[in-house]
Amino acid sequence: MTDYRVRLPVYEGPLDLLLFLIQEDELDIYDIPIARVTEQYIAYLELMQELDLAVAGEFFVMAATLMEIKSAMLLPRGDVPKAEGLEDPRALLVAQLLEYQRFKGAAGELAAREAEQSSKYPAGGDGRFSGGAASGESIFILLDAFRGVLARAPEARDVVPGLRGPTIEDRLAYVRRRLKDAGGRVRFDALFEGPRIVIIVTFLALLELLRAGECRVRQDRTFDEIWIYPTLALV
Amino acid sequence: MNADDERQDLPLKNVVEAVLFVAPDPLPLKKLAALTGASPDELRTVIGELQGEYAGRGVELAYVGGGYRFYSRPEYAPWAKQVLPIERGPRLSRAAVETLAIVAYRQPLTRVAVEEVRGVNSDAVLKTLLDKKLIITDGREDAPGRPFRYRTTKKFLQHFGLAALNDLPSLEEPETGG
Repeated sequence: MTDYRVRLPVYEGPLDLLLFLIQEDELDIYDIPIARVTEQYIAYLELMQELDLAVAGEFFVMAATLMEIKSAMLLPRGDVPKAEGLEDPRALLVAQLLEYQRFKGAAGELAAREAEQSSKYPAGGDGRFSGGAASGESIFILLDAFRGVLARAPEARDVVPGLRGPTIEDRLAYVRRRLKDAGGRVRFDALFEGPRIVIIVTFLALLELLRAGECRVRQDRTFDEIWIYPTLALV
Repeated sequence: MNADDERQDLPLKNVVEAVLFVAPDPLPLKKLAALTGASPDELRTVIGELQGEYAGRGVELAYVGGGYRFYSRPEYAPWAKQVLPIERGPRLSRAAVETLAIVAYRQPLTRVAVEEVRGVNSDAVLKTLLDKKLIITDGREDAPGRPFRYRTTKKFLQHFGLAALNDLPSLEEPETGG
């Protein structure tokens, strides 16, 4: 995988991933099935490593924490007085998740205010800054959808020997062309075709374009289709 | 008749309207008072009248980031953006808005305090927010290493269309789903 190594940064943290897993399966945050969540968490971590994304070290610390909690859950706690809520090995993590969720909620409301304010143009000129790409949706929504695409992809061994492997530049051009040809949005899974390696590099190219602010991802409701929108620069 | 007399003859409401029309930034009440010599109460009255007169028009007079400013209404954005010479930049990233939210509610606070909530290194995102002047440093924490503390700026309020910090969305029940 060295020939297309791009080391795209993942800006989200481990708490984002945990909240994503909890919300996706509509789990009770106060009673997290820790074994199941740990397993899913590690599966995502492995996928991110396979894609060679620049995953923050905190992801691995969290993986260790989850496994620690998982084994602590297996210990008999019969002697512990029931009133002592803190004796639940998950308590600290749950408190941290709840606190983080509060700010995430506030951030969501702020983003809505930002969207409204950005459609008001001030008198006397626009002193607003430019630059700094917004991804639109969490990378985990993309990774989740990408897992589906990968699962349907042909096995790795169908790569024709001697053929030059796909490069990130090729696939950047491909995604740009698809967005341009569509004249609007492109469905996420419609971007991926061909051998597994092509699919993986295409996904990395898409992440790069998102990072650069050339396109945005939109999924209006959970379980709805994911769409890629070109930003104005592309049209 | 000297110039001062002439000025006094002009309606305060029109003076306020004119200066707000050309000002490159939101004008605080204090500044309007210094410009016009009118009292804050007088100014509030004429601003209220202006806001009433602009109801139902293409522009509105809003109180944002500690001052008053005229804005085109959001529904006219499709036309407004066509006449601006410079393309507006994309909005802030999720990580940036999230970090701003934490700084806004907990300020002043250190990088470590931000990271305790986010659970991930926030060095780069704080630097971006500093570069964009959405946050500034506000002294140092009396702790080992004397780390910087951060707080949000007026530009932050303007960017999000907030009148003041107490105009922030409430931070009570966590949001679910979405």
